[in-house]
Amino acid sequence: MSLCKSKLCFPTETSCFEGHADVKQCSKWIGGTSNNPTANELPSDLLIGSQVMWTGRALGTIDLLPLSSRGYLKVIGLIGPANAGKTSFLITLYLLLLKEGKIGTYTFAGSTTLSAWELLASHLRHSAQHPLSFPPHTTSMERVPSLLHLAFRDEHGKYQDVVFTDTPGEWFIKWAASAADVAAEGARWIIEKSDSFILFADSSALAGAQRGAARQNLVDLIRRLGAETKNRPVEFVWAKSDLPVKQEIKDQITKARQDFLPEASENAVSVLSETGCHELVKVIELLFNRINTHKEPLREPYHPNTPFLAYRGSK
Amino acid sequence: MTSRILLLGPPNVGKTHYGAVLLEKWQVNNSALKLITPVEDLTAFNEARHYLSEGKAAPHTSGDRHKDTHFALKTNMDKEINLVWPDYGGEQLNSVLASRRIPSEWCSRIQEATTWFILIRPSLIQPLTDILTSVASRTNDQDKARTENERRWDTNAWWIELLQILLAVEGISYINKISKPRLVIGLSCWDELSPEERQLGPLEIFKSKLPLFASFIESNWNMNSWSVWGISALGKHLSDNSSDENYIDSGPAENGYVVKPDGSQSLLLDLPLEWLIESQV
Repeated sequence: MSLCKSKLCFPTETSCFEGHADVKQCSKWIGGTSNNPTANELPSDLLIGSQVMWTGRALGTIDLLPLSSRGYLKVIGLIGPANAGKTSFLITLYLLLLKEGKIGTYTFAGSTTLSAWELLASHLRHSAQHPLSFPPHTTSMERVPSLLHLAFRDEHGKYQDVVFTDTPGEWFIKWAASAADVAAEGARWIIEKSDSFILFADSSALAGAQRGAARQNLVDLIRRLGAETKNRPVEFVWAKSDLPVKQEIKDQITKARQDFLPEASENAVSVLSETGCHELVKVIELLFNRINTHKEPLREPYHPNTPFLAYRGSK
Repeated sequence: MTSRILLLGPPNVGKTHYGAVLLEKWQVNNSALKLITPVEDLTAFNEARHYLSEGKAAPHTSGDRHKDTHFALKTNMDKEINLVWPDYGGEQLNSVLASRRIPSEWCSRIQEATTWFILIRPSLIQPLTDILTSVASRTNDQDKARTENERRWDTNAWWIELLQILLAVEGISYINKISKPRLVIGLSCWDELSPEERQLGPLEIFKSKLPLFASFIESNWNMNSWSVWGISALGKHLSDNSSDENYIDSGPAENGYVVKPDGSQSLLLDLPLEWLIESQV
C-alpha cells in the first residue's frame, strides 16, 4: 500500500521526494503525522534523515528525475534482438571499469545503481556455488525500461551522468515490425529519449541454423532505427565476434548498415578475448566523444504576429 | 576548536590498534601532535592497550560498540584542538550498506565530522575472479577464489556506495569537486605487504588494489584535499597469542610507523591526522 499521495515518492525505499527529513511532516504523507501515527507506520528502525534518494537497483523512468535535476542526463540505448549480448556488454563494461577505473579519458565518478551492476556482474564471476554463466534472458514481463547509471568526469573536469538501457530484445523485434505496436512501448521510449545508440548484431544467431531469420530481423531493425535516429550517434557492434559469420550474410548486413546508418562505425566485440574487450571500451569512448560533440543546430523561433517579441527597445 | 574525525573502516582493518598506539605515543610525546591534558576517559582503549602491553593483538571490537574518546592536543604551531576519536565495531558499516539506513548516532557523527579518515587493509582485498580474469591470466588459485566469491560485493563498489551514502547524508554535492571534508586514505597493516608492493608507495598501492574506488576519489575530491598514507600501527605482525618479547620490552609507543604520500617513512604515527586538521587551524 502506498504511504504517500505522490506517485514520485517511495518512502519505504528512499527518502522523501519533497525533501522532508521526517516524511511524516510532508503534506503528501498518507501514513499519519508524528503526533498521530496510524497503522501505516514506517518500520520502527527508520529514523529521521536516514535514507538516501536511491535504492542502488536499476532505475525506472521516474527514478531519472533526481538525476536529471543535476544536469543533462545522457541516455545510451542498447538496441538488438534477444540474446544478442546487450546485457553481457554492460556487465563487461562494468567489470572493465572495476579493473581500470576509467573509459579512455572519462574517469568514473559514481553510480546510483551499484546494486544492479553487482547483481549483473555476479553472473560473470566464478565461485564454487556459482560457476560462470552468461546472464539469464532479460525478461519482457515489464513494459518499463531498466536503466543502469554511471557518472564520469571528463579530462576538463566536467561531470556527466550517463544511463544505459537494459531491455528485452523482443521489444525491438516488435518495434521493427510495427513501430506503433502496443507491446513496443518500451522500445519507443528508448528510441525517443536516447542521445545515442549501440546496435547489436548477434554473431551466434547469424552463424546458426536460423541465420536467415536472424538476418531478416536485424535488417528490419537497421532500417527502422535508421529512420528514427535523426542524426544521433550510432555504433554498430558485432557481438560474440569470436563466432564466425558467413561472409554473404555479413555483407548483406553491412550493406543495410551503410544504406540506413551510414555514420555508424562497425566494431567487433567479444567478452572471451582481450582484444574483443578493448573494442568494447573503444565503442563506449567513441560514443561519449560523439555525444559530447553532437549538437543540434540552434534555430531561433520566428513569431511574425507577436509585436512584443519583435520589440528591440527604444533609442 | 573541536575536530571530529569520521573514521571509516570495515571489521579487522585495525582501527582499535591504531587508536590505542596513537594514545600511547601521545602520552610519551613520541608524536607530531602533543597532548595538552591527560585523557579523561581511556575505557575505549583499555582492553587493546592491555593486550598490546603483553605483546599480543587486541581482540575484535564488538559490533554494537559506540564510544568516543576526546583528546586535547596542540599542533607544532601551538594551535589547540580537541580531537574526537570514535571507536565502533566495523560491522556497523556493513549494516549501513545492507539496510541503506543510517542510525541516528551515525547521522550525528557524519554531520559533526570535519574530516574523514578511511582505513583500508590492502592485504584483505581479494579481487573477485570473473570472466575477464580468465581471459587475462589463469592462476593456480582459481579453486581458492571460487570459494571466496560468495555473492559478495566487489570491495570497490562497497566503498563507493558507502561514501555516496555518507555524502548524501551530509548534503554534499560533488558535481563540482569537493574540498571539504578533507580525506585521508590510510592503508593499514602496511607491514603485511610484500617488499615489492611497499616499494610502489601508498598511492600506487591504492590505485592497483582498488582502481574504481581510487578513480571515484580522484574524480570527486580536489587534488589537495585528499592523500594516501601507509600505516603500520604495530610495526610488525602480532597475533592474539604471540607474546612478542621484543614488543613487550620496547612497548607500543616505540613501534609503529607511517609511510607518507611521498613514500618516505616516519615513526610519527599521527602525521595523517596532523595533515587532516592542519587546514582547520
